[in-house]
Order: sequence, then structure tokens, then C-alpha cells
Amino acid sequence: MVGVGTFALFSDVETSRNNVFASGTLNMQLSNDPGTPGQPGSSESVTGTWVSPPNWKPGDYFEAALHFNNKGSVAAKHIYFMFHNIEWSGDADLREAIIVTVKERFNNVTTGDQAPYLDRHVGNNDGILTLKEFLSWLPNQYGYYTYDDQSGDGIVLGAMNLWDYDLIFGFRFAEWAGNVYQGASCRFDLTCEARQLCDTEGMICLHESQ
Amino acid sequence: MFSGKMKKLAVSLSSICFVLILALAGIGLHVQRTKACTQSSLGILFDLKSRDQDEAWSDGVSATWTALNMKPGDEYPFESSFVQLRQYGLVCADHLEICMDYSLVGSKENPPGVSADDMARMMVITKMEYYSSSWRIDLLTGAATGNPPAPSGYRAGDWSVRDVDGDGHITFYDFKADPLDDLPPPRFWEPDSRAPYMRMSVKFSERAGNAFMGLGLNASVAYTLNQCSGQ
Repeated sequence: MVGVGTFALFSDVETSRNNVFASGTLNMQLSNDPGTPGQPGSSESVTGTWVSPPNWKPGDYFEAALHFNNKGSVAAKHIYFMFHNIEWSGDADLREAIIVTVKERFNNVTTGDQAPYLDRHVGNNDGILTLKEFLSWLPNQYGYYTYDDQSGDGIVLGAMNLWDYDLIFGFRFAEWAGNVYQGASCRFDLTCEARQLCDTEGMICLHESQ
Repeated sequence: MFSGKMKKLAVSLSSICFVLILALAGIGLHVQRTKACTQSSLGILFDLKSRDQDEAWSDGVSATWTALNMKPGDEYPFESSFVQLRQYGLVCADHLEICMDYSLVGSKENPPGVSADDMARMMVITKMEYYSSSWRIDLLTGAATGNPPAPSGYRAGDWSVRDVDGDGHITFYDFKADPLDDLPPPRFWEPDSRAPYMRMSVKFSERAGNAFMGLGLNASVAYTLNQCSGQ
């Protein structure tokens, strides 16, 4: 004990401080109002993006866009889409009498109608994509996705609202629809998930690859 | 009677002598073991200095390794980042210890169920080395090249971080839980060119899910220079 007590043992500590490792954020926002490209979205969720006008009748067409942007700091390369809560009522399934057009806007470039391409994959390949065909592909799970194959980096939603995206659906009440569709209705919910990483196995891209 | 007393006295004396011998031997042994340490009581300076890629020699450095806006899977080689250590003073150092500590920082006020340890488990150390101009130690495996001088207290495993939580990765969490010990210290007589460096590369794990979005870790790496092996 005496021996231990007489010796001072030196040590000295130096520290590398403030080594900060911070993760980014991916925060997709939605809006029913595309407005000007580059404008931020407004909400985590929206309702009534695609609602048929009053007294919708055979031959009528309407189109609306769901606007996406990302106010986070990490870009998204993919957006996944899931149709769910699919319902219809009336004497006939109205979805069979609704013809869908699908267009997308990546930054300032809008694609042509992708319905014929999608019909080849999820429909009967007659060149017409009905709403029933469209909604029937992997309902209640992520069945569709999109990415920007026009840009070199594949980013669909840039960070800090840099690059945005619109999903544009058009709906035509088929001219051939008869009286059996009077008073009929249908609905669906669409859940969208922006992803940084890219696993799209089993899903169908909303546009034909360029 | 006399012979009995003499016998007891003889036994007592021999016991005392035996104790004294043991005590002296003990002191002797201790002096031997701590011989190198006795010189330190002269009060000679024993000072560790550090510098990194953008700071000169001083007592501590800051922000040597920084990665912002990380995404799962991002790798940071930090090829130009380092901490170099040098000893000032005339007292021989025995060994160096390196340990890590960290705290959670971030934009989320109350991240649900995510602790600093959870975030630290997502910070995978992909490369970590301690080296000089003549030797190199891989701090992930303990493998050495160039015959680095092993301090007397060196034991197998001292020079590497163990996968403490058994997740198959060496992370900041493991580094904090299993500090490095008994590394060759910097020597006061060696010039800057021979002073040892530490470097590391990290990766934000692909396993990091949305719970880790917007979070950060403020990490510190402490280098302790010790004079004796028992410290």
C-alpha cells in the first residue's frame, strides 16, 4: 500500500469532438392543385382529387392531377402507388364503363397517355384501359410505381422541392354505357409512398420505359 | 521451561522475519514493477496533443468526421480526415486508449423509441486504422503489419473493437462498449512524420428505416495517453 501511494500516474486525454452524423429527411407532400411546377405541396394527404362532375353522363370526360413534391433533404427515386378501399354500387359495376387515361409530369415534361401500355400489362390488351382493369392489378398493395427515366439520375422528387411530379388521371364515361349505369358510383383510395431506395420487383411502372 | 520459551521466541522471531521478508519482497517487487513510473514523480510534462486535417496541434480537435444529410446505405470513406497524436514532455508513455461516446441530436424533438444507442447501431464502421510511418493496426480486426510495439499490458483483443451486440457489424455502439486499449503510444522523441494517425470510414446502415430520418449523432473520440500499464 505504501508503495502504491507514493507514485503518481500521469495520463492525458485529448478528444475529437462534435463529429456529427446526421440523417436526411424525405418528406413528400401532396396537393390537388398542381399550380405552377416547382410549387410546394401542402399536405400529407388530400381528398377528392378525382371526383366526377355533377350529372356525369356517357361521353363526358374529366381530368385532374395529384401534385407531389418533397420538402425533405433526401431525393426520392421512386414513388409507389397502392389502390385500396375500392368500392362500387348500383345495378352495374361502373368501373367497367370508365375509360382511364394516365399521364405523368416529371418536372416540366409531360408524358403521353400510358393507358394502352398499361392495358397490355393489366388489361385485356384491347388498347382501352378501364378503371376496373386499372384497379384490379394488385389491389391493397403497392402494384404500381414511377421513376423519372428521362433524367440521368432517375430522381422523381428532388430534395427541397427541387423537382416535382404530377400524376394525371383522366376518366371518360364510355359512350356505349347504357341505362344500367344510371345512378351507379364507385370510389377508390390511392396511397403513395416516396422511396429513396429502389426495389420495384413485381410492380408495374406507370409509364413505358423510354 | 527455558527451552520451551526459547522455542516460542524462536518461532515468533522466525515468523516476524518471515513477515518482514515477505513485506520487503513485496516492496521490492512493487518497486521493480513500477520502476519506470517512479521517474514521473519528478513532475516532468506529460502532454498529449492532437491535430486533424484542418486543425493544428492543440488540446483536442473538432468535427474531424462529419456527415450530414445521410441516406441509408451512404458510405463515407473520410479519406482526407484523420486525427494525429503527438506526445510532448519527457516522460515515457506506456500505452494509448481510444474510446467513443455519443449523444442523439436531430430535428425530431422526441423520436419515438429511438435512442442514441439505436442510432449508433446504424453507424457502421467500415474501416478504422491506427498507424505510423512504420506500422499499421487494423482496429476492426486487430491485425497488425510492420510490428507495432506492443505495450507490456497488451492482451489479445485490445487492438480491435468487438461486435458487442452480435449484429454482424462493428458500429459506433460497439466502439463505445468496447474501447481500444494498450495501443502503442506516440513517443515524445519522434517527429511529426512518425507520430501515429487514426482514420476511419463509416456507413449509414441500409437497415436504418424511417424512424432514423432527421436524426443525428454527435460523437466524440477520446484519446487517453497513459504512463503506466496498470492505468
